[in-house]
Amino acid sequence: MIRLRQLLLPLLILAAGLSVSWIAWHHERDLSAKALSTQFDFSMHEAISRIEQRIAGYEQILLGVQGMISATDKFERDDFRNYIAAISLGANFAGIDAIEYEPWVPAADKRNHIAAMRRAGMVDYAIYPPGERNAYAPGIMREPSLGRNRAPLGFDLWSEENRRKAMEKARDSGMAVISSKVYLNRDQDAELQPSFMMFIPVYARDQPQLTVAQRRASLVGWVHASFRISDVIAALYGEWPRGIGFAIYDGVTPSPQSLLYRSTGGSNEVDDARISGSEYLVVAGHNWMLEMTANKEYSSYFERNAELRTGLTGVSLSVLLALFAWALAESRRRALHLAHQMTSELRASEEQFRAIADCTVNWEVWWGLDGRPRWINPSVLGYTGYTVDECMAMPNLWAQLCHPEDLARVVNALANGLQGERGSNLEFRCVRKNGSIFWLLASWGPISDANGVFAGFRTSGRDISERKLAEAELRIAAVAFDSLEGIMVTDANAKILRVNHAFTQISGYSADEVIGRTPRLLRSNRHTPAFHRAIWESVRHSGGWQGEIWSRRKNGKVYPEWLTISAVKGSDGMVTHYVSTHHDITERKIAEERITELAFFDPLTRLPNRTLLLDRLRQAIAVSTRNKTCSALLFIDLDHFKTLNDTLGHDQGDLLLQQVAQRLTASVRSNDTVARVGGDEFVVVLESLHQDADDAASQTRLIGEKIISVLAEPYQLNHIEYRTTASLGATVFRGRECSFDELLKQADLAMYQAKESGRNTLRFFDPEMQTKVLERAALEAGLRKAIEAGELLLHYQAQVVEGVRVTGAEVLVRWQHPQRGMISPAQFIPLAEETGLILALGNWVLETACTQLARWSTRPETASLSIAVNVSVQQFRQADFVETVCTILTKTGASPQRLKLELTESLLVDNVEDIIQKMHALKAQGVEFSLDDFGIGYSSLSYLKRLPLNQLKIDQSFVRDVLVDPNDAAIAKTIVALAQSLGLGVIAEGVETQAQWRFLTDAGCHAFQGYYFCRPQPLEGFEAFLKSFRSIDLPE
Amino acid sequence: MACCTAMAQGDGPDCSRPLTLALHDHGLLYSAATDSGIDKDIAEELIRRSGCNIVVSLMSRARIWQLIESGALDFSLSGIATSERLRFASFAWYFSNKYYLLVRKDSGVPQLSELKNNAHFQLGVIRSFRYSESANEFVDALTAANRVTLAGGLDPLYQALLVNRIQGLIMEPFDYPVVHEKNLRELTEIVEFNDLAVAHGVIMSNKSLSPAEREKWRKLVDGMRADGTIRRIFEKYFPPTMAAAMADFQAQP
Repeated sequence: MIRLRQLLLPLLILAAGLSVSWIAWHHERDLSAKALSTQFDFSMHEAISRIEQRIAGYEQILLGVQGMISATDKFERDDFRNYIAAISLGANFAGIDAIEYEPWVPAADKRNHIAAMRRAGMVDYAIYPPGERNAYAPGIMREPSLGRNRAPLGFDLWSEENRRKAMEKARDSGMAVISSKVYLNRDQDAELQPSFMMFIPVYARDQPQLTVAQRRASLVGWVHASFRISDVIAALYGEWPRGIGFAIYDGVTPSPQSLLYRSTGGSNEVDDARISGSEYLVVAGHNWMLEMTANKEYSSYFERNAELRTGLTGVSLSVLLALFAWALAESRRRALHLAHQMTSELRASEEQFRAIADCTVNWEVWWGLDGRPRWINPSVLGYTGYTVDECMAMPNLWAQLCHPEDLARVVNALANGLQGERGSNLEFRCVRKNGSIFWLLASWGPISDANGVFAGFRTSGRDISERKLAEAELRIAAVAFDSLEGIMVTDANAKILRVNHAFTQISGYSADEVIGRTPRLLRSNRHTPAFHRAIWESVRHSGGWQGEIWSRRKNGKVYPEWLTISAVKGSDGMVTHYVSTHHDITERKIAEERITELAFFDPLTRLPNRTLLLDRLRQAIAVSTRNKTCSALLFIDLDHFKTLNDTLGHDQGDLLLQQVAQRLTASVRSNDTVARVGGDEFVVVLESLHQDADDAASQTRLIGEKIISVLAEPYQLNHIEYRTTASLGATVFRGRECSFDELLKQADLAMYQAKESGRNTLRFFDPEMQTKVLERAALEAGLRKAIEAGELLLHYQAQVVEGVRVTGAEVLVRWQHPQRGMISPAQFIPLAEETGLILALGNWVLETACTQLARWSTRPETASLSIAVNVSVQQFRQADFVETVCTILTKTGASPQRLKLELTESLLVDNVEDIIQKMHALKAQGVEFSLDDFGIGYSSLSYLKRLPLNQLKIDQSFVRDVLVDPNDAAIAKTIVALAQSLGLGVIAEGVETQAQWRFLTDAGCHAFQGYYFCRPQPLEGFEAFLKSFRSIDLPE
Repeated sequence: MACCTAMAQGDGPDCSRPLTLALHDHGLLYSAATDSGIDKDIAEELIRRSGCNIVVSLMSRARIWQLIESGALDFSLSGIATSERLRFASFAWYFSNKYYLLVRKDSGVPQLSELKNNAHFQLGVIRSFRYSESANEFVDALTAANRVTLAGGLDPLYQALLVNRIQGLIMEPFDYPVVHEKNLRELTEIVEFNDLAVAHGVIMSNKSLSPAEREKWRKLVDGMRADGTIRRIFEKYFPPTMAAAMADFQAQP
């Protein structure tokens, strides 16, 4: 099979080559044959050409003789002889046997002709063959008369058929005519040679020869040349072409009878002929046939013969090529075979090794001499994650697998492997396919092939990652062991195996002192046995315990430590060791205390701070509640402490405070708490006093007074002696009467009382003050509700003009408290302003007033009434005040012109521009403004011209004393005048008497408001007043 | 054999030297036996018209072409153009005719395609003769198959046809009477080649005559055609219709 395949290509090549060669050979043969036939044809054509030319030449000669004869009047033998002799030297003469002249002798002229001939000297002349015929054409001259030509003259050519035919034709055409094949008479005794004759007629000179008849009539005779074909042919060629044979036949049919000539140059055997051809010639009106053959000689001469060469070349080339291809294939096959053989040998030895190597867990690589891996065992997959194929395909195995940091070391070490050396214990890291790293322990050694020749080296590697890990862990452990934490390692029976340096530091025990003993030696008495048991329970149960424990140092000192115990288990799950860490937390504890302290103690005085105080207070309340005893709270404020700070400096102040703190602490019982709650404020909580409040109060008083006296003693602040006093406020409580906030407040209040009383004293909290506070709070709450609950109502006080007409009313808000009854605005307005309720209140007032305006506008008698509403500063300062007013106006449908807003001068203290803007905005709606309490506030007169006011209200204080106090009178007058001159309206408030009314009227004020006219009253009252109002005349 | 008549012509062809014209023996065109024929008349007309001294001789056709090419011969007549001939000769057309295959009746079905493949069919052809296109193809095919016998003239071909040495030959209308004369008519059939009539003309040697001279001679010949001289000559030998068909033709370049 392989052989066949191997042969296939060469065979194909051979076949291809052969076919190409055959094609070429065939082509060559064709070409050759064509060339030959062309050459042959040429030869034939050439032969014919020569023949035709020669015949034409002969014609010319005969024409010459004809011409000569015609031209001569008396044509003599000598002339003939000379002429022929002359021309016989010419080239064209070659081949002519003889030229003869024969006259035309009709029968009638025979006797005369013979006689003339005899008379001319030919004594024996006779026409032969003898006999009487119609006509005769005896040859009477013949030249050259040599040799064979010595035949007697007088032969009658006319008697011979062939001759006569030609002569007739020549006579009729006037042209040279060749006869058919003849034999010359002269030859009859010798060998017969094929011959022919060419006749040319001779006509009488002076007669026409245009027609046949004319020609016949003017015929004189003929001239003819006789030819031996062989001579003619001989005259044609100087040298025969090689291998050509030809035959000339007379006529168109080749036959022995018609054969004129056959050459000797070619072969006569037709079967030897390669090429033959024939052609008909027309020579001098006569048909000849030329048959030409070319034999081997000719063909070999002219043949290209290349086809054989071509064929042979092609064949040999094909064979060579095929051989070459075969040799190529063969050599390749050989090489493959050899390689295969070598590989098998190697493989065989490798197989052996591999059988062993595959068993191992090691990762084996066999390296060739080129430093590339030749074989890798399948373990590589488990080791590195790469398959054998992947590894074999890597351009550089180590570069890919080896950790970059170890690569140089590895390459170096393995370099000697290539030299055939051994090596081992090369530890390095490798990188797996997934990027993870493992440690490899490699050894290497040379490999020899079956002949013992060094063929490479093999590396054998083992994964020592675990070992390395273990080593690392040991190192870690060792380092960790030497940490700052005390570590103790015991065996499973709690016998101490090892302790570190830090442990020694903490416990005071050196390693020697503790090894072999148990941790019991560290136990302090602080913990119960149960505590210790619990620890070990936890360790056994969950493998460990950690927590705070008080241990005892070697020197007996007990210290707090943070202890962790961990159980170390073997791979079988059994506990092999216990490892405990001991962390001395004394420092920590101290720190903790410090933190606690900081959180709960005042750093300066080390007294409980406010946070702790509260806690203690809570405790005190709890105790008080539980025991039903009273407790007391003392607020202590150092008098003029600030002054001390400012004068003597903060350092002295701090010193003072510290000393105060000390004294206070010394003055109270142990259960009591002394706390610093402020800069110079101290609080003392007295726990568990008498159950009776008064008794408790007495106790408190005693202690308080003691404190006062203690604190009053001089202090030594560095070099300065200082005296100070304190103000004390006390409150006694039992249980949970009040919240401690309340208590603090109470004590605080009491302290303030003490301060107010002159300092350096103790005051107890006044319940009544509390009441007041409570009341206030209640009122505040009530007011909030009042607005919503509709407890507010408006009272209307009429504003009159001249005493004649009610122009409107000022509304005043009243609070109808459900319990307390009518609360005057003086009580709740300030409160409202303090709490911000004034806004809601003010809006309510506005809305109610506008609603009323809207109602009044429907009745003609009230439609012109205006309402003046007091607007508080807070209200007015609201950014949306204008909007609010407009909204209310729109909502209620009240006419803005009927609304009068009363502002107080206190409004004008700040941001007057804003006020002006708002006033203008509302003015644009039609709202009117009047300035209330004019004259007593802050108003600058310049504002009067800027504010879009409508009216000034003279404060009632001026009005009240207008009759009594001339100043007030003057002021009132001035205000009126001012208002008038500024074009503002003016109204006097608080007109209570007629006299006041009169004065004011005189002063020019015409609008009034006051009790004299109308007291503020509810709507119904007001409306009733309206009805009943008659104009009051001002008495004169 | 030839006569010459000197007649001076003004712008005619140059007659300063004697010119040569060769005829070949070919049926009605020229018969050596009778020294007469169409071509002889044409030649005499040419002499008369040109007034030049033209020597007329008789030659084989093959020789005529050779000498025309070499320039040894100035004129010949009734030649047809081939690409090879046009290289050395120019023509002045004066008649056209179709070509026919004269084939022995006993040579089988006279289908040209069959005759081409018939191994026994030998064709006779005059050396150096070319014919119409399909006739040329026919001849070439048979030449390649070595079934063509050449001859120097028509007469041996007729002889050969009579003795069945050849079975066919290519002929033209002016070969008819010979056929008739030789009683070949009963023996043979005529197969027409499917070509147009081929123009025949005065052959002028490019070597011996300048293009201007040739043009003059061409004009002369065109004159002969134009005034019906050609037709008249043909009418001497052919029935009028045939003469007209041959003499009146559209001149191709």
